[in-house]
Amino acid sequence: MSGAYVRSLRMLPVGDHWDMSLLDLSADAVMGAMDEAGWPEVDLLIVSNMAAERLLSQGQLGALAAERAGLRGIRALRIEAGHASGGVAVATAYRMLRSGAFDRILVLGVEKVRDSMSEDALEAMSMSEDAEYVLMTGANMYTLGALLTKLYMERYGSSYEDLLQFPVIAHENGAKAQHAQFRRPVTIRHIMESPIVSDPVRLMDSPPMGDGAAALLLTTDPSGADAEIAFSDYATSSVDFYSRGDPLSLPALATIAAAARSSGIDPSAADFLELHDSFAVMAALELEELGAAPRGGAPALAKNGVFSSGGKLPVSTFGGMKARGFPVGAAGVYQVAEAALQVSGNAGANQIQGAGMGVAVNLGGFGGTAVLTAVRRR
Amino acid sequence: MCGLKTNRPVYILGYGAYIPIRRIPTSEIARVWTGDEGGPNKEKAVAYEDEDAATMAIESSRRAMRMAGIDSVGAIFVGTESKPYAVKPTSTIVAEALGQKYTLAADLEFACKAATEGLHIVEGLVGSGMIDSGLAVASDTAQGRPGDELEYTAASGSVAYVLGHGTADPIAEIEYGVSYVTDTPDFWRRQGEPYPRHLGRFTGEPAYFHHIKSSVSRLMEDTGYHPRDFAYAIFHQPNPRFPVTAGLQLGFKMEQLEPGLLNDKIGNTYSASALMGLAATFDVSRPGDRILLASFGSGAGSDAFVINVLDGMLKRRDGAHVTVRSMVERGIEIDYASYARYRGKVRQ
Amino acid sequence: MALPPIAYWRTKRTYYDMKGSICRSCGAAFYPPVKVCPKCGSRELDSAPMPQGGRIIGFTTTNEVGASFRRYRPLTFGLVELDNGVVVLGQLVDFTGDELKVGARVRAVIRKLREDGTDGIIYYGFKFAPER
Repeated sequence: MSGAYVRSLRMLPVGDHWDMSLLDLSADAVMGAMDEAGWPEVDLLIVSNMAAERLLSQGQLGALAAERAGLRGIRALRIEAGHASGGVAVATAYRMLRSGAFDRILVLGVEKVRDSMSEDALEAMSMSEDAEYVLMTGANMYTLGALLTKLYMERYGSSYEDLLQFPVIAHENGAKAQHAQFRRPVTIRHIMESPIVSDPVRLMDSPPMGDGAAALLLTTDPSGADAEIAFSDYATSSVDFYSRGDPLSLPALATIAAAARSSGIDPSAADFLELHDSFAVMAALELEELGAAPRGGAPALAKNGVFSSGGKLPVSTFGGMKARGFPVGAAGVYQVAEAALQVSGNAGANQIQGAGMGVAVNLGGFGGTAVLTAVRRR
Repeated sequence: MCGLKTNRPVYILGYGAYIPIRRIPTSEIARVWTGDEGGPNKEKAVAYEDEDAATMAIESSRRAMRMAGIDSVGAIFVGTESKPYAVKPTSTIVAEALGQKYTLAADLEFACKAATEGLHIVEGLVGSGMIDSGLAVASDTAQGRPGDELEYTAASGSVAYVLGHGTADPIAEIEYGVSYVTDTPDFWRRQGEPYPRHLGRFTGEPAYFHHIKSSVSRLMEDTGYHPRDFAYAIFHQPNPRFPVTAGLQLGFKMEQLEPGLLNDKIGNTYSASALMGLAATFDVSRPGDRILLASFGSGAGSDAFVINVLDGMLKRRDGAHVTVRSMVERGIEIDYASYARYRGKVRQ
Repeated sequence: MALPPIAYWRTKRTYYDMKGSICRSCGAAFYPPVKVCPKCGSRELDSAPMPQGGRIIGFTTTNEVGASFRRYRPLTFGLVELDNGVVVLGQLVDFTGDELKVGARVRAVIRKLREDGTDGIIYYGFKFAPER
């Protein structure tokens, strides 16, 4: 079996890109990664994107992105798995490289939501749920995040403020990150002063909307690469969390974490974790599902600094979904790029000392799809 | 001979009512529009944003079917002047919600007497043997022109009656009926107009009182009954006063009228008005009671009925039944701004 | 953005009656309906209406409502455990003051879910009101 290495990468800052279209963002990211690698021949371009078909009426993204970036003629396709599109794209590339089917795969995550009115973008973000149901009841991701938050608080006796440790950590890290959408630390008081989107969840504890593009050139040839993808795979489960038996479980993540452990990767023993911290409660649930905290115990560990950048298991090292931003379909690619920067010692002000192996968790919706990617120093 | 009587007896097997929970005091309406103290009624029932004649009709019909203990009907007639669609029947939405497919289904319009007309029609279908059982439903989310006096009373509510043959403990029998109509422009609404118009005081004597007196006096003549032969009398209630005036003028006493008087607390539920009074009266009636029901619909006409309460009333009514009184007493007060939003009076 | 009216028409039974599925092999019940039993994998499933009553296991009031429902905000949602154990997400309506709490009994009622503008179809479906 071949290995899969990160030959080069490029991340655009997450946020508003008024002067750049979806394809402008794509081209920038691709050309940046290819420039760094010296334009080798690429076998396949995988584009990960969640909302372009709906918000921008744009299909056939693979061919379009390839053409705009000067890669005319190559194999290209788009992968969609809700908010896990990016992670699934990486996992797909990983498997193809490992099997020897291809030598060089470009993974491009790109998303453009800021052209849309927030209420339209909000509905687009909620596409990861059963649309017939969501468009009939009016529930959206804020509703679901709030219900999960309350169930967590009730089961473990946590206060909402306890959970807000996570966005505080995220913003602390995002403040140092060049490509982060939010570059200022926040306090729990700031968060509690932001408007309620769905009680008790505050706006600053919910996924921000931002444009972004991140490209990774993955190859089977280790030369010139400092980071290796050691594991990348995904599983699915019931899309809605309330049909899972235990609504606070993440069965897809449990499945894939078990698979990772079987191949010798223990997520709870990683040097850092890039979490899918769309909501504070999700950060807690993921940590607990991975065994990095006891059930109901993640907020207390966060309070003790365990998950901060100087702690035993730093999370969301560049700000996570909360502060680096959440360019939905592209987010999973950002995570892997960030992990690659960490393990190769190129994380600048966000560097976790001695980072040798990190794990990225990317979820679709509230865990209908769960991707786990382990990146280690080569 | 203008009496309506079937060859075979027709019974009421069940009834159900629904009054939306929100209330607006008329003093609040007056505060916004007129500066006086309020309307003739204290408050009225207001349908919420997500309610309409169809949703309320479904709720009252389900309750009626449950009391009747049947799961199929051969006719569903919904009397309403606030159909959600100008073209698309409310009755098929109700039919679908009740799981009925092979059934007559249509909407009737005759202002506030559309549903008592439906009662006559279903009675005829059952009495002829054409169907085994049928639903006559009243449902309205009446709209008053903002600032007009009718805004005080125009309210929302629904009530449904299941009629059928007498096989299983019917709660009442329809003994006799009369229907009287004339072409009278007391109150109307043209196609495409959002609010109705009316002729003020003309809606009293030449409209409401004339038609009710005409139908009831003919009914009394044909049957030989006198007011004292009735335990209760219920009249259409456009405001708290008219049904009392009509009742007393026709020779009834306050005790006979009281259980059916609801306008003061819930307003005029239009096609559901008289029938809701009947439901409230049924809630306290006993076997052997004879009841007079007289509706009035603008445009204009009146339906009158003699209804006899049977033993089945005690068996079927009590238990999980939601009484009209309990719904009347339970209200959440809202202000005019909320009312305007819920009733679609704010242009968006 | 809305689903086409025809998509709604097709699933009307699901929204009027809460028609779900009951597995003939293992007896488990599911809503919305399924073609393969998620519990035991059987394809022997009966279409069946779910119980119209249940209790609230969680609720929230959403202020930031998406475009299709924006004019109805805020909306209150509840996770309701029906009397057969199936958990359903639905809007909660007509709750007064302190009636709204975990454990409160609810009944399913039919209400307007949304309207397609002033000239489009009106979509009806179930919501949950206090059981009285």
